[in-house]
Amino acid sequence: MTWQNLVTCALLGTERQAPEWPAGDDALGQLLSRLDADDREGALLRAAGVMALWRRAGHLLVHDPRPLPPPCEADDAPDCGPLARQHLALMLQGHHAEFLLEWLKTLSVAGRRAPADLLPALLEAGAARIGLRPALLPVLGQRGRWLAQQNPAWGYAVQADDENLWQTGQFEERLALLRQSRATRPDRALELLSATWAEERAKQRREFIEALAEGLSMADEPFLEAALDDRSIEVTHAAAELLARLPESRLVQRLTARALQGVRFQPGRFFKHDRLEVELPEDDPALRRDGIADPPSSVKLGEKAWRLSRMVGAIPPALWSQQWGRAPAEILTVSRDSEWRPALLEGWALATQRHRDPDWAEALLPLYPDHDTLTAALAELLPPARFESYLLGLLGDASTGGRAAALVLLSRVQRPWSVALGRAVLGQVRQRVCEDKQPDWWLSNALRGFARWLPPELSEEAAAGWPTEAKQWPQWQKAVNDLLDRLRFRRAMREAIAAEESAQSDLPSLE
Amino acid sequence: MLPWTLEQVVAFAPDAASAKAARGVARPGQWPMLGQNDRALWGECQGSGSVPYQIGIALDPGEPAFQCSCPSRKFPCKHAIGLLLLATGQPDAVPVGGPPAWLSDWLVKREQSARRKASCAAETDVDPEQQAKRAAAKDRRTAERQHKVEAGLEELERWLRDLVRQGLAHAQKQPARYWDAMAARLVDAQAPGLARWLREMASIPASGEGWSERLLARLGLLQLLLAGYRRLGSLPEPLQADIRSAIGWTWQESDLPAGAWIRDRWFMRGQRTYQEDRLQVRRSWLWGRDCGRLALLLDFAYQNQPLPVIPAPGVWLEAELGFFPSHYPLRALLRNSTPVEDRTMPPALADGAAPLLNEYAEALARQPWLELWPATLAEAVPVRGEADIWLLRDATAHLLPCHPGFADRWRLFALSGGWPLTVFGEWNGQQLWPLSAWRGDRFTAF
Repeated sequence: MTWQNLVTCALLGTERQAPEWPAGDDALGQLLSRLDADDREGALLRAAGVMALWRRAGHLLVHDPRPLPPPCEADDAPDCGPLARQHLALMLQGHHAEFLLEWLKTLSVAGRRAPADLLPALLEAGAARIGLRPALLPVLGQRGRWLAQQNPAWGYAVQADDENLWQTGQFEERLALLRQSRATRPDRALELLSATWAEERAKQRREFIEALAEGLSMADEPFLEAALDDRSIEVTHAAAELLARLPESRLVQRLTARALQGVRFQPGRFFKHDRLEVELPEDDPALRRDGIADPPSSVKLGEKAWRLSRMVGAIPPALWSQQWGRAPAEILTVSRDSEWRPALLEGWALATQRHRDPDWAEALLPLYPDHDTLTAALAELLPPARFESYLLGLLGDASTGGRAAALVLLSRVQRPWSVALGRAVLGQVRQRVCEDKQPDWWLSNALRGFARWLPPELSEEAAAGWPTEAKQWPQWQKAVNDLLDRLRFRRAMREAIAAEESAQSDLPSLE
Repeated sequence: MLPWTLEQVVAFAPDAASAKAARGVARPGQWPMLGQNDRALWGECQGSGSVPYQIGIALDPGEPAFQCSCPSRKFPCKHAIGLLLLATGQPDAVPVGGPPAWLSDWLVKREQSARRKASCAAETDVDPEQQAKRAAAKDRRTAERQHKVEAGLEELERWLRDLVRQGLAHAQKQPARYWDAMAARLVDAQAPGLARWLREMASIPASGEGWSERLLARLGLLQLLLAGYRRLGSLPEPLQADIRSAIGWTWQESDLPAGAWIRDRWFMRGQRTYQEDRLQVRRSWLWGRDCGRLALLLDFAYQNQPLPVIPAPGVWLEAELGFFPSHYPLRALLRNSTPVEDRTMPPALADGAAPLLNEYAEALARQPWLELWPATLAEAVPVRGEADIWLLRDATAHLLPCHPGFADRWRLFALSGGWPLTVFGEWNGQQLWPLSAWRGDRFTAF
């Protein structure tokens, strides 16, 4: 109290109030009794100094009688070693951050977990980027889950009370929750969504349906089929889009029945070739319900042709091959003579992507060698061996066009390359540097991205054999060094995870 | 070509105001006469008076030596820094030639004294007469500084009394100038420690809840320091040294007696780097395995210059530490250090929060102006209190609050997992700022 009196006096100033200090027989009182009360300023300052020290030296500890909250349980999985920890720390600070996902996946495959002291930064990264979460959750370990329970911002890592968040959260939080649970427990996500479906607003209904694309299965079919009768046309279209990806859905069955009637195969006889007979579909309420209504204004096809393309686009393309006993390439050849070929091609390309049909993708690729989006989308569908041989074929092509197309395609496709493909690409780039008359900005930019897909074991080989004497080399040097840096980093991070011994357990031994 | 960059030249200025003024002077038009050779740089600068000032700079390797005929009390003055800026930025503007007579005298004298110094060092103090002379010169310098400091302290005391007479509430309404001007006068009085004290106090009135208490405590401790200085002679020698240190005396390696040095295996317990005005400051805390002592190393660097390289926290080093004289010695200099491979973790030193605070009270009793005290709490569990206050709970359920500015609290919490660990940090009398934590053989620095 007396300290407070002293503070009050100091606030007002000694010209308004005389200072008071505690008197008493204790050491403090005796010391303060030697102050000269007539010298107000001196006495106040000295008393303040003495009392401040007295208080500081006598800091009173608070005692907390409550039991401690339960600590974290011990982890079975070992955590990563110190070098791998360094790599993670770098990425969380923004260096080589594009490899974070790869690091997390590699760690999870190795059966290890993230180091305890970087968990807060990692959970923070996951809070900001939903895309990280599926890879992040398996490496959190007991410690990470325990930690996430203590901070509402990291609630996504705790499965506990999704119900409450779903029912009371903001739209963005709910959408994030839905997306995340689709990645891990799709049935639970559908359960949450069904429970509140009737109360959701139209725009949000559409976004929620779109979120079901992740983890889509026939379990979602009844819900989506019902959504075809939604009041909002945007919602019905979103539902139809997803149903068209499920070969066994009622929507696909209905459209298949119609399409088989509308597009018929006439085998050739005597001197006549095989040919396709097409009957264009009319507008009708049943088609409209299945998402085929009015063509968007950007479409180049006629209205009926567009309807045909959408119908074909919903059917698994393998069906045509079975039905007609012809390989995809043969069917594409036959379609050449059809008046409605553009509509059919558009439909098949769409259906190939929706149903992820590698045979049709391979047959369609030569028709779209350098399409803006389609080429990469189709190439993604090829199984690894066929993807490689397709690209190796292009890279070995005599024409520069084919080789250039291969590099463009590789810059767009998101999949790792084999050693053989990596070597062929590096060879091609080296050759381009040699021949280069003017710096190729596009390729030097694309090189950065190549670092993500080249096999890391090539990092040393990749460093050798560059035409450092070439006239344009200085223009390329930075991009190439960038590529090599990234590749080395990927190799180092994978090796650290695989090789390093874990530091010892980070829990006290419970003896 | 001069060996310094513009940034380095600016860093020679005693404060930001001088550096700014120097930039204004660094124009060829201000200099009726300019010249340089490989040993010196000189010029005449038109000041406010009728006679131009004469500036000479000896280009010694490392740091230049300055001389100017202006009456400024700042050293080096704006003219000297301005000349150096001009010559660094526009070397062509300064013609090469022979130095004028007034400069030659100074240069010759400097060279003679440098040679004398070198020969003295070579003869390792054989000449008692020279030794006595040097000791006398040193005493004279000390006396001069003492005189300046005393004048500065007297002014500070008047200022303090004015402050409390008018009241802290009045001081709170004062502009930054109110504190800065007093701090600047203390710099001139060669009491940089007190100047820093003033600048720190300047930020308290705006620091929110409880500011008046914090300010009054600082004012009171400052008053005790002034009172202590007044009767310096009657105090034990180590305490005298503490008071001098607080005022701004520093010790060089050569000032420390041989007995101040301790050779030991030292553990780097923690480090903290922060910005103070234009300086980067790094505090490193070491603990000696055999002597059991804690030590503080301070390193400084101007803005963007790198700090000296020293081992990171968690590393053991074989080294000699020279402790500054003090009633509670902490501050030290490091020499002959080699990091060693050693995985042992140091002990906690105090068992629980209560013994820790007892030790702190004893330290304060020895050295009342101790600002930060190295504290190690064993068996500490980080817990969250109300309003996002974090606390360390010891084995007897006593709580030690963490500093609200400590940003790595979630990291510390994650490391603990709700289990006890050993935490090392800086205790300021109210809060602990953790710098490192360990358990088993795992050490983490913040």
